[in-house]
Amino acid sequence: MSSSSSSKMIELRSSDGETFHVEETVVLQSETIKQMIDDDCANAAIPLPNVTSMTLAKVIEYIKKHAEKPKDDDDKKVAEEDLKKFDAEFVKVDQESMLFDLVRAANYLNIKSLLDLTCQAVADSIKDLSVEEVRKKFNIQNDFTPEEEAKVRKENAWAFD
Amino acid sequence: MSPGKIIHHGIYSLTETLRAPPKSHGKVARERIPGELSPTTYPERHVARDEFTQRQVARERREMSLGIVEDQMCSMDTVFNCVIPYIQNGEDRNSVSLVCHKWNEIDGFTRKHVIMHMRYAPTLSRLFKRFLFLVSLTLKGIKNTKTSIDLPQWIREIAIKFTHLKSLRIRQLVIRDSDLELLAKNQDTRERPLNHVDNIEKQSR
Repeated sequence: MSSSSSSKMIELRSSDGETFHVEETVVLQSETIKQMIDDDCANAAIPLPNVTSMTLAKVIEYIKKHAEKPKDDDDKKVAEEDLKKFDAEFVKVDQESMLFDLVRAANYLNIKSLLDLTCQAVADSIKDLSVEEVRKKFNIQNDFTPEEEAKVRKENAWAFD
Repeated sequence: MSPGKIIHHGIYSLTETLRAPPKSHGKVARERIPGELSPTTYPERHVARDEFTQRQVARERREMSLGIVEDQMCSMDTVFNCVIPYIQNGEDRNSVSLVCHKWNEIDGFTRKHVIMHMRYAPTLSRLFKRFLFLVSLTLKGIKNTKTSIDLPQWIREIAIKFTHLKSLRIRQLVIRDSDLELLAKNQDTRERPLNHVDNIEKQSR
């Protein structure tokens, strides 16, 4: 039961020119947009030059879900479980690049919980990978000389958690 | 006017993302330009606005394509900057530090906890250079074994340089009252508590 009739709608425009209409109460989860609204800069469509329509659609799906308010305490527990499931499914994306786009969007829009969720998902995907595997995964060139690499390895022997 | 402000904000963020260190140009040009970003796909207006000689046109277009490619690379840098702080495990962190210079650097300023194994005779200056923003640090020696480490010197430097340090643990090393006094003094002047100094083995000198 959302109160779309009473809440003000905010217009967002993605980098590829698509516009999205989202309730102000929902979109306030983005600190970046909240700041714009506070500064009275949200009268026209808000341009988001760093976010594509595909990514923005996913972000809106996320913030809409997270804006749902449970009615009572029983409902609260169910809602929490439901939200956990939603989050777990949310980061299961077909293309890894989508996850990277979401990290960037969460960072740009400053949505802390989405940044935590997506960054943790990427961090978990690197867990227990070898250095070479990490390089391959992100298409990173090894720019260490053998001497530099040996030096870091030596230091790592005396410093670890 | 408020709409003007929005645009300003947008552009500002954009330029921040697009900005790239100039030193990487050569490398980028060699390794990363995919086929679809070839000069022919660029809008003609960059050429049509003025008359260019063939060479100038080619040069301008090459720079344009670099800008876009660097955008891709910079945006991955944003991802790395965001994600690496979420890697907590020490061994994973050590892997991170070996991926490339950029990752090593990000690891350096985002690592919060380090255990220094003094038997490897680490150097103080490297510790500061690599992990300046440590929140907790453990100095670990070996029981009943003397190390060549000048502990008072370490304590002095740590108390001054690690301004973010909240916890210092010293294990199996001989610590003197004067060292503890030094730590306590710094705690007072800087108003930052040093939570743990445990497993102290007292020894009169």
